[in-house]
Amino acid sequence: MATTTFYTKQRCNWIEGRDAKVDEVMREWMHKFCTFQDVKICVSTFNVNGRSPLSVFPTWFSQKPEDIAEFYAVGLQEMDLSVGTYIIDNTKKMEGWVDAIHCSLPGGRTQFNVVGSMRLVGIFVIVFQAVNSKVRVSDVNVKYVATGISVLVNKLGNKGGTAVSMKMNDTWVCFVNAHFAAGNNELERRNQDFRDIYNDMVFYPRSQQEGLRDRPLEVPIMCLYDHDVVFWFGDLNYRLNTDMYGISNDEVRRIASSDKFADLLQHCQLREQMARGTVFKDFEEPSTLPFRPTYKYDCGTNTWDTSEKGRVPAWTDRILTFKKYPQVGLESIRPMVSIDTITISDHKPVRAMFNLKVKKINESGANNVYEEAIREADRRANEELPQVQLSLNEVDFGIVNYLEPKTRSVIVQNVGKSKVRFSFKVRPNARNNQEICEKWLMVTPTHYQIPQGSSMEISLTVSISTDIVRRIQDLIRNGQLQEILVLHLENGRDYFIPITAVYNNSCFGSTLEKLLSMRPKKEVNLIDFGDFSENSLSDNCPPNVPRVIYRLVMALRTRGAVQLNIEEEQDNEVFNRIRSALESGQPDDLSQLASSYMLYSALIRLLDSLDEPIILEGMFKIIHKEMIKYRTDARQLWTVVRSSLPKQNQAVLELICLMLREFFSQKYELKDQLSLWATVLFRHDIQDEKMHGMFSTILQTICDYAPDVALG
Amino acid sequence: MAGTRDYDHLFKLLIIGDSGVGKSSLLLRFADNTFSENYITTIGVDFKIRTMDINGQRVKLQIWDTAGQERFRTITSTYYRGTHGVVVVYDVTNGESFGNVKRWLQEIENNCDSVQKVLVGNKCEENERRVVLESDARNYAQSMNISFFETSAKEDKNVEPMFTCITSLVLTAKLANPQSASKDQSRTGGVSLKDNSGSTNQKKKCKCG
Repeated sequence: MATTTFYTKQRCNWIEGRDAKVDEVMREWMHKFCTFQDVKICVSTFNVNGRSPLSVFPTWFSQKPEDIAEFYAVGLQEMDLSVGTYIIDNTKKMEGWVDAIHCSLPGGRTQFNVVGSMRLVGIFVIVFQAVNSKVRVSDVNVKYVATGISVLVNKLGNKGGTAVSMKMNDTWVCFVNAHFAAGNNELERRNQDFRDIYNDMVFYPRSQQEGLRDRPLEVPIMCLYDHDVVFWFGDLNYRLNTDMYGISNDEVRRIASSDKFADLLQHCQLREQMARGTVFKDFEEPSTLPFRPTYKYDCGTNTWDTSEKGRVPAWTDRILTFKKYPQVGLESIRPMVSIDTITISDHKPVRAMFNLKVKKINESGANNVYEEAIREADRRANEELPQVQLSLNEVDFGIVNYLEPKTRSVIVQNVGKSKVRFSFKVRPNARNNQEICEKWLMVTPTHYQIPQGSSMEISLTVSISTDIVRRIQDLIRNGQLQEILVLHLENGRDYFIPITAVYNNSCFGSTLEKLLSMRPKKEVNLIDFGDFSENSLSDNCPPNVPRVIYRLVMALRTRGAVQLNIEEEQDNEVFNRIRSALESGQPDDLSQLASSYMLYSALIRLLDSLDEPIILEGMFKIIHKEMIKYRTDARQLWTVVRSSLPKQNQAVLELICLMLREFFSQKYELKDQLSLWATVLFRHDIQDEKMHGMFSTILQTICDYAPDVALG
Repeated sequence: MAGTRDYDHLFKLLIIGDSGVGKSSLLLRFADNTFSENYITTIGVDFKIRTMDINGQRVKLQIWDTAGQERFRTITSTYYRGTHGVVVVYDVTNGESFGNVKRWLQEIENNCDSVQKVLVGNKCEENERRVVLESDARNYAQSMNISFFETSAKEDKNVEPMFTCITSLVLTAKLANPQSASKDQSRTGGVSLKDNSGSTNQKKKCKCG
C-alpha cells in the first residue's frame, strides 16, 4: 500500500561549472550574493636583453601615492641568455632581477611580498602583493610552457610562456608572461607559439577538488579561459608590415620619432591577426598605444638600432587582457606607457595599471540564490522552446464532392525566440503507416523552416479522386471524413489539427444496392401529375436498375449517338450540375441538361466510382476467367452473366449493352469506345495488353448479341 | 574547469485527464510559477522543463501536457512511450472527470509497462462547487495503490509537493531497479533535451585561439 511521503529536500550547494545555464543566471545575479572589492593591479613587461639589472629602477613604477597598486605582475624576457644556463640552472641572474624589481616597487622591498613566480630559462614572471593588502590570495599555481624547441641549434627554452594562477578572494586571475618567435617573416611561428601556450597552460588547483567529492573520477583542471581574468603580456615580437605598403625603414623611423608615431600601429601584425581572429580571440588591448615602438634601440640609448641589421621599429612588447564574462569588472585606469628612461636594453619596458573588482562569494547567500537560479534557468530554457501560433486549430471543409478538390490554408506564425522547424508526424497507429494523413487529404509543404517573427502558409486540399471514392464508405465515420494532422516543432511540442469534411448523399462512391434504395423517388413521381413523358420515363425503369443510371442512359439514348462528340472537352462545372441533378432527382429528364458527351462522361464516372465493378471478378476471379474462356461465344457469355452476377449487376450490364448496341448501329466509329468500356465494366489492370484485348473482345461479343437473342 | 555535468537523471512525466481539469495550469504553476485565468484548450501536446534536487540528486524533468479531448485519445496514447511517471488529474467540481479516472488508469495500463502514478484532484480552492469528496478520492487512490493529492493550480496549493512526490517515486523506482530504467531510457520518446546527459568522465576541451 503506497502512502503519501514527503521527502525532506536536501539543499544543494552551488558548484560553478556544473550547469552552464544556471551559471549564466548566477553571474547575472552575482550582486545578490557577492561583495566586490576594488583592487589595483600593475602589469609590466620587459625584454632585458640578457643584461644584469641595476640595483633599482626608480622610474619603472609610479611612486605617486594614488598610483600605488596592491599587486604588481612583472614579466621578463631574455632575463638570462648565458650559454651555461641551458646546461646548469643558474639562479644568480634571476635573484638579481627579483631584487631589482622589489626595490623598484613604491616603498621598496619591505612593502611587498612575493606571491608566486615561475621561470623558463630567460622567461620569468613574478607577482607581488602589498603587505597591507586586504585581498585573500589562495590557490597559487605556477606553470611554464616551452615552445619552438630546437635542440639542434642549442636554443632549448628560448621561447614560450610562464604563468602564475591564483584566486584573489573568489576571483580567478592568471598572469601569463610570454616570449614569441622573433623575426619579420616568422608571423605564423608566433601564432603557433600563442596556440601552444594557450592550449598547454593548464593548472591543477586544490580547492576545486572539494566540490568534486561525489565525482572522484574527474580530475579538476583549469585552462586559461576558466579564469575570470587573464593578463597576457610579454615580448610577443609582432612586427610592422610596412614593407607591404612601400614604406621604407627610414620612413618608418622618421614617423616613429615624430608626433605621428601612432599612425604606424595600423600596420601592426598583431592587430591584423586579432582582427582576423587568428590569435588572442576575446583578448583586449587599448585601441591606441600612446608610446613609441618599444624595439629596437641601441642599448643605453633612445636611438633606433644602428647595427648592420637595422631593425624596423615595432611594438613587440604588449599587455593584453581577457575577461571570461562581460560582467567582470576590469578596467584600465591609467594610459599604458613605455618607460623611455630605462635604457639598459634594446627594448623599453611597458607598464599598465588596472582596477579589478574582485568578488567574495557569500557561500550561504549563493546557495540561497542557487535554487531560484535553477528555476530561472529552466524558465529561460522553456522560453526558448520553439513556439508558433496557428490561424486555425481545426479545419472544416464542409461539403466536398467527387472530383472537385477543395483547398483551405492554415497560417503558421513563429512567435518564439528562434527559428522554428516544423514537420508533420507520421502517426504510428495510422491505417497507412507511411503517410502523415489519409490519401484524400494533401498537405503542402510537409516541412518548413520559419525564421523568427515570420509566418508561412500551409495549404490543405481535400480531393475525392476515383481511388478514394471507391472506398469512401470505409473512410466515412459519423457521416464525415475525419483526420488529425500532427504538426511537430523540432525540439518542441506537437499540435493536433483536426480535419473534417462531409461527403454524403452522393451517388458517386456508392454501391448498386444503395443506388437501388433511392427508388422511392419513383413513387413520388407517380403521385406527381407532371407531363406524360416524365411518367413514361419513370414507368419504364427496369426493376433492378438504379434510377440514376437509368436517367443517364435514357438521356443519352434520347439524344442519340449522332450528338455524342468524344473529342469534346471536360467541363467540371457542367459535371457538377449533372451530379447535383442526379443527387437531387431534379430534373428527372437529363437530356436537356448537358451535352451528350458530358452525360456520357458522367455515366462512365458514376460506374467507375462504385465500390465494385459491374462485372465482378468472382471468387479467385472465376467469373472473369470463365468469360475469357468463352469470349467469342455470346450464348455462353450471357449464361455466365445470368448464373454468376447479382441481379442488379445483370440488369445494369444489359442496359449498358443495349445502349452501346444502339450507338454502334447509329455511329460505327463509336466502336472504338469498347476498349474504354471494358476498362470501366471489368475494372481490370489495363497494363496487361493481352488481357485487356480479351476483355474488349468479351464486351464486343455481348454487345453484338442481345441476351434474348443469344439465349433464344 | 571540471567537465560539465547537467543532471543525474532525466525523467519524462505525463499529465493526463479530462479536458478542462487544469492539466496545463498545473504545469504552468510548477514550471513558471504563474497562473492564467484565460482558458485555452490544449491542442496537441506541450512540454516544459524543470530541474529539481531530490535527496541531493539533480533531476531534470521533461513534463508533457496532453490534450484531454476524447477525439485525440488515439494520438495521445503514442506519447506514453518512454514515460517514467504519470499524473492523472480530475476536477473536484466535475464528478464526470473523477468518474473517468478509471478509464485514464486503464489507458496507462494499456500503454505503459511500468510507471509511477499519482492521482490529483485539482481546483480544490472551489469549495463552494465541490462535488468530489476528498475522502472518496483518497479511498479510491488507496484501493488502486497510488498516491493522492488535492491541488489548486490557481492558488498554488500542493503543486510543488505533488510533483516532488511523483518525481521521488520515479527516482526511487529507478534506483531500486537500474537495469530496467536503463532499458527504459533508451526508449524515451518525444524531445531529446539539448543538454548533454551526465557523463562523469567528460572533460571540457581547450579552446584553440
